[in-house]
Amino acid sequence: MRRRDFLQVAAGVALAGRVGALPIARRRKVVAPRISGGINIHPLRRFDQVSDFTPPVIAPELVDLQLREAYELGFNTARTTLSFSNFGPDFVAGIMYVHALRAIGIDVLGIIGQFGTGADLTRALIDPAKRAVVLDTYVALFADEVAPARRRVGPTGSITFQVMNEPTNFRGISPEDYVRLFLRPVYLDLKARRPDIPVVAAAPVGGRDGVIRLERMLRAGMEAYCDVVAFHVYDERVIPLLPQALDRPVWITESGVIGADNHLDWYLRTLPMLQALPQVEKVFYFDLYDAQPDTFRLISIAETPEGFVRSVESEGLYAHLTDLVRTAAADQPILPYSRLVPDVRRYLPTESDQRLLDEARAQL
Amino acid sequence: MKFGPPLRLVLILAMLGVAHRAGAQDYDDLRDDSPLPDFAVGLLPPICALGCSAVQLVDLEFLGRTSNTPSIGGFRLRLGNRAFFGARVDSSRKAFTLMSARLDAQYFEDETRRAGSVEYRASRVRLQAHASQQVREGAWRLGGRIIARLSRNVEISLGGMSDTETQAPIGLPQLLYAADVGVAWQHLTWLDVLASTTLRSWRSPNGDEFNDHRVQVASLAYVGRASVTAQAWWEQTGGRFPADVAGAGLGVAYAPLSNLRVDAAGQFTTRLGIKSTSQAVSAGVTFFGRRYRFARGGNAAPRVYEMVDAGWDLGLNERRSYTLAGMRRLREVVGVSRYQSALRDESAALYADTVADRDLPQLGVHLTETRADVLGTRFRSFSVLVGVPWPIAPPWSTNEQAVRFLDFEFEYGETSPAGGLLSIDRSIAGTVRLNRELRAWLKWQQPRFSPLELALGQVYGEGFEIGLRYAFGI
Repeated sequence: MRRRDFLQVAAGVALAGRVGALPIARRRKVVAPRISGGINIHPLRRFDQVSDFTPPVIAPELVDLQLREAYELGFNTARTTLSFSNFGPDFVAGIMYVHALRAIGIDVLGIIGQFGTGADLTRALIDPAKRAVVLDTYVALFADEVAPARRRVGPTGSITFQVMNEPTNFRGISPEDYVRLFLRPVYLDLKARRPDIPVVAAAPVGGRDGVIRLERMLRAGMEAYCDVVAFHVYDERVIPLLPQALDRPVWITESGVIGADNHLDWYLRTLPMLQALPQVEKVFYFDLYDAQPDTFRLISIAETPEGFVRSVESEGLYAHLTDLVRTAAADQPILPYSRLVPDVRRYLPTESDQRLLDEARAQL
Repeated sequence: MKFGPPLRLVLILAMLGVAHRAGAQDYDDLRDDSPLPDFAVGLLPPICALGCSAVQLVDLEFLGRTSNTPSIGGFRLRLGNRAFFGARVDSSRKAFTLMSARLDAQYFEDETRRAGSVEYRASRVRLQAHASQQVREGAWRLGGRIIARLSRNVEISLGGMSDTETQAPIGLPQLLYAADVGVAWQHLTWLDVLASTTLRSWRSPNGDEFNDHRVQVASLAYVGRASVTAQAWWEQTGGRFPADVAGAGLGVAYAPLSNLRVDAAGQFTTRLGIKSTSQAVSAGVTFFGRRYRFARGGNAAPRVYEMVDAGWDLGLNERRSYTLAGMRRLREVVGVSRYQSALRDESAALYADTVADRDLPQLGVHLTETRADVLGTRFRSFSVLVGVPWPIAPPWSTNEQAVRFLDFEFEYGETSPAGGLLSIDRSIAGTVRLNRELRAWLKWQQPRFSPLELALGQVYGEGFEIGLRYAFGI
């Protein structure tokens, strides 16, 4: 390769991951432009309800399917739950999702959270010794650089942590207790380990109760213990009620509406309203896939004898996002996902990951 | 239980002593109302409700639990004609009180805080001062209040406080200073009205300062066979996150029959312009033995009114209170004042009417539901009370002399914080009331947990509670 060609490729690679649609070289395929904002991705690992380590812990096809959609729809950031449960199977699945997403250039907002009503995480975070073990493990498994999915395709995605999800709604923790007992110690401990990794505060629920909860969190000093303030929006009437003039940028880490037929209208109507707020930096659509039909999800997934098959449920919004990507790519061919990730099993947790988890579990 | 064996022994011996004395006191004061007629009362010292030169035990309490909660012990002594001194302790907290005709002093201490307050009651003015210190931080909170009594029925109050700590604690705003002004009006025995306004200044943990301003009015009226309480308040918070919150409440108690009382109450708060933030409703019905008299509808209420007015003429500065504890306090204050002789007859008459008015609940059912929408918390409870005289007699066989009762109470509660958690608490208690002054109970309970305790999984099992409470002259 001539020096001029090399520089052209390097510049294209550097910009494509963030801005997208920039040609790496004439006629060379480009990665899908990252122009669709954020998306919530559930770390789906099996299609049944098995909650233990019964093999297979992770069905790689499911990970592959969701990654493909996130990539092809041009999302730049994926928010996913790194469900603690004493480093149970869902946490293990989170490793695969985070590594793969970051490898294909999608930033990850990882929730230090837990599915279900168990108190494992809250108990661990409130105890300094256990909190140290938990955060050491999250940092060790998620914070290090990852290799790009394919040479000359970069940069890789970054990692950001969010400290729990809707703590009042899902855990019954008051806004003040959340800031005092959970956000502050976790923020300080994370910063002591990795000051370069941004920490996002938990978002309150996305209705009018959430506005009041957010105010109470702010009055309790939340901004001193996070890099980003978060909120959820499921009722557009709350948008003008959101507190203004914050000391931190705001991410809308969930935004969505029930009913597939309403998705596109919601997206087109609320996104400009949210983006018009002075401190809103990112908006995450909720969600790519969940188990409830005709609620929030963009796609549905079915298990067939031939494997897992996805179909588009939110046809209007899906088509809109696809058009956005095509338009942004202009006449440049897009690098197919299958060439970017020929085998997703590459991102399965390694033996080293498993050893680290075993050691951490032993210390809890 | 966290009390050592010596303290437990002392408390048990004291209980026995109190049981002995309680009978004597009742006999001396109201011979027809003696709970223990077979006592050799002639050998016991006479009561000294209106004058006494000896030290006398007037309150004793003990609460022992098998759960994680510390046991509590407390007592209060009458120090002759001078004052009352009390103490209440558990394994980590101590509280002491001193009350005389003109002075009230209190001291409290636990692992995190020391606090003291003093009130001096001149004939027309009450002066209050309080101070507290955070043990670890060393910061002081100082405050004072002046309450001027403009007439028999009207008083105004001016208060203020300041905190030397200017750094907010983690997760909570720090109160920097507060000032308030209020007025209270009491009209005869049937109407009390209170109004006040408060201004407070706060600093949030990240250094923002903001003020809030609160205005509230409350009233209690007893009309006919109904008692109505009403309150309303409005609070405006400034600063970076301004908010207007308002609330109102109404409670009605009505006695449709001479021995039946029906209660209903409701309260709500709302964040103006956003949504309702909390509601509470309750309802209940209680059947009483003998008869039921509202606190302001019995014979004792006019006695209180007359005695407070008579004290006012002499220079005493006491408010009218119609609760059992309030009426007892009035008699105690008079009993250690230099006006005890002048008010001897009024005090004796008040005590006699307090006894005659006493309620004897025999069957009651109560329901409550409270919702804190912002926190997503809902609490529901249901309780049933059954009280039977001992020896057992049917409710319709009125016995004015009955003072010994057995009470059984069952309570059931559900706490539903957000997140799909549900905590159920239950308790069943049996209480022996030997007379108005002395009661002992045994309770089994499955405790209630806070939403945070549930979130942290900090729940523990059921346990027993044993308690004794003696209150001389209640």
